[in-house]
Amino acid sequence: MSEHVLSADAVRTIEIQVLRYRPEEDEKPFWQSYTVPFSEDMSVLQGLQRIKDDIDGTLSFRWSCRMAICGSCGMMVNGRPELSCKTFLRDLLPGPVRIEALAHFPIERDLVVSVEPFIRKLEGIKPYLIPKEPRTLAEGEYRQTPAQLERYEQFSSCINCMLCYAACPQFGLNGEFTGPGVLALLHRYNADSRDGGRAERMQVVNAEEGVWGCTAVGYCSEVCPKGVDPANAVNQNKVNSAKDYFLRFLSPKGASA
Amino acid sequence: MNVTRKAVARRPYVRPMQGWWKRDPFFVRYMVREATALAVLVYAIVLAVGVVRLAQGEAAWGAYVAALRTPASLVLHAVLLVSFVVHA
Repeated sequence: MSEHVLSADAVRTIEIQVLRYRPEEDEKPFWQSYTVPFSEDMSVLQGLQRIKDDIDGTLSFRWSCRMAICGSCGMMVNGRPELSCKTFLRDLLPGPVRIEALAHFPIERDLVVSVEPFIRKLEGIKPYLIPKEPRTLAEGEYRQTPAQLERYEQFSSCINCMLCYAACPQFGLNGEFTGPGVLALLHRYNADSRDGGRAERMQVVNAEEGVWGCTAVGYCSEVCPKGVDPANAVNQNKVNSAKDYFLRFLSPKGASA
Repeated sequence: MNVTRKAVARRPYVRPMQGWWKRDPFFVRYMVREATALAVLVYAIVLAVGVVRLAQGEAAWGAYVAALRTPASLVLHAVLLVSFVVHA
């Protein structure tokens, strides 16, 4: 890495353009430009914090952990969905850096989007293990083989940051679509050998808003900051959904395979 | 701050989706690949015409093969081949 030697009085700056929207004043969003002092180690989130602290306190955005695990600070950075704490200004030189609220979600204020529909979908898939049968403590812990773990492990890395939704045009065109993140989490539980909730969740998979709303754009898996592959989960569940549909002719209760 | 009207608690703004596929190079590549499905359709029609011509007898089949050998047909097939490679 090259070393940047600065003279004492030279403050390096970068232009950050933010799509502002203040519902009580503005009919529609508008771009506002800020010139922010910048150092090599600053993330985009830190740039926004600089704006809020020193330049314009009215700017609104969500953040919490600053280390890419809470999933709060997702936004469009130069048109691409990113966690702003995981994206560094030095990689976006010379700027300007354009920041916008996550695409495909309604903007509440500035960089804050509505998340209620997403939360409702998330609750709808019962994102927890539903035991196959009652089990007493005396029976001990569940045991899994490495192969059984591998079947769902990557999907359990999801942090609900919704970047994949901002990358999914099908969600943008139809907000009812269950969408990549929630379908990946649904698969995380269905693919778990300890879980017995598959029949309930298959109703979400098979629904009009389920996996068949996906047209395999695949950008969701590109932008995921945690290495989850939602497109893969959706594809596996297209197969499961097709099996569910056809195997019911053979087994009246539906496919359990 | 001069707030003239009573502040509404919430007024979420929904951004338009017009021209969404031009927004990101990834979406452009996706749409190009989607468009190559038309090449698959065209080639299916070419093959289907061949089957019909075969059923119509030797003269019809000969005319079909001759048509396939014209430069226009060769160019078309080259375009279709490239489309299939993109599609695959």
